Amino acid sequence: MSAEGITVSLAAEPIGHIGSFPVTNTLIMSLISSLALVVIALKLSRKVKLIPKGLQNVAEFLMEAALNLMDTITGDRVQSIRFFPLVFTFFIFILTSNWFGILPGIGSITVKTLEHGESVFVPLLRSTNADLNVTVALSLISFFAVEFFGIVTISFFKYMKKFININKNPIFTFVGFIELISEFSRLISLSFRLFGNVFAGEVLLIVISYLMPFILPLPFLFIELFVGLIQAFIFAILTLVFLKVATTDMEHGH
Amino acid sequence: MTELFNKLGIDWKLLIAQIINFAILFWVLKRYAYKPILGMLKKRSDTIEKGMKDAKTIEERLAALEGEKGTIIADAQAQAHTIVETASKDAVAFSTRARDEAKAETAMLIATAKKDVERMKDSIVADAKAEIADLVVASTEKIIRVKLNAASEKELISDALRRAKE
Repeated sequence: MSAEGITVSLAAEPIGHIGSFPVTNTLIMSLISSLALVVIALKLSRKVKLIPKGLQNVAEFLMEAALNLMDTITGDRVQSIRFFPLVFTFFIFILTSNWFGILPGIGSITVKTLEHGESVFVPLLRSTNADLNVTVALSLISFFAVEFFGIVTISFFKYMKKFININKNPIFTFVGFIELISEFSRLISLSFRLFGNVFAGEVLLIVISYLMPFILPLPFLFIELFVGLIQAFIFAILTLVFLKVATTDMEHGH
Repeated sequence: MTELFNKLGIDWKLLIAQIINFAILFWVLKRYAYKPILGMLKKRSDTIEKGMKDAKTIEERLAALEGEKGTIIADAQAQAHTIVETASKDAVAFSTRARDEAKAETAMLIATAKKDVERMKDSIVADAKAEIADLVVASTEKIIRVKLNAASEKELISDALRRAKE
């Protein structure tokens, strides 16, 4: 941010390049939050005991609560455990990224880089999900996981019947067509919802801090904490719902 | 389309990098966090379930043993009762028999003693009779020799003998 005003870039700013690969500030942030989670996981795995203590207690509580919540959607503990790794990783990664994104220093510490031949100041770090590359990557994973689980669980042809119904009533053909569109629209809705919320939060905090750096940003920081949690929750829960729908055999459902 | 992606900052290299990043994170968390923790949760619930089941079986067995104990005690009591009863019956029978035997023996002793006494009395009486007869003969002889004649001697003697014999 320069003294003459606020500059907000929709795209993540590259800090440098490794060959032709642009190293952006969001990439660094996503690596930091991933690393934090990996460190916690490794620390956790080394001292898992039957009688829990400290960190294990927290992890167990979180996972147990998550599984119980998932049970209300899947209605089946076995299925919940099957989807758990993917859904919980979405949740914990997005949550960590979002909360790391509002730590002080992120966005305000800038570095001088060359862009199109001229030197500019860009933030060294930027909230991970304020980059469409991240959110699109996440929603692509979610999308393909849903298709994969659907095909594996109820067989390829049965799964395809949801979208392609030619021999029956034309209404079903039309419904199938709409299903197909809505299937792909999830890619956009998932990624842009997350990106939009986090990016808007970033911009809001920048603007508020620019107008009044003391005290006033506090309530907005709390709002961002909450938004970060809610968005992580929404992404994970929507993925779970899509998984549940995809793995349910519709012919028996009616 | 490309321009739109550029404006939004979408770069396929970054996209793939993020996908790989998430995949690695997913694998690490699954391997080092979810698997051990969920395994432990399952193990713990299994342990608790087993403990509850064990406690239940122990309780059931305890109740069964309690019942068994009651019947055993009742049996033992009944057995003791019969033993005491037969023992007291035996004792009574034994004492009665002993008394009867003692009575019989005493009676026998008394009878033999009586017989002995009778026999002794008889022999004594017989002896006394003989002696008395001799004495009578002797004294009579003396008297007769002095006062009576020989004619009446024989009659007197036989008379005296007859009396003595009675």
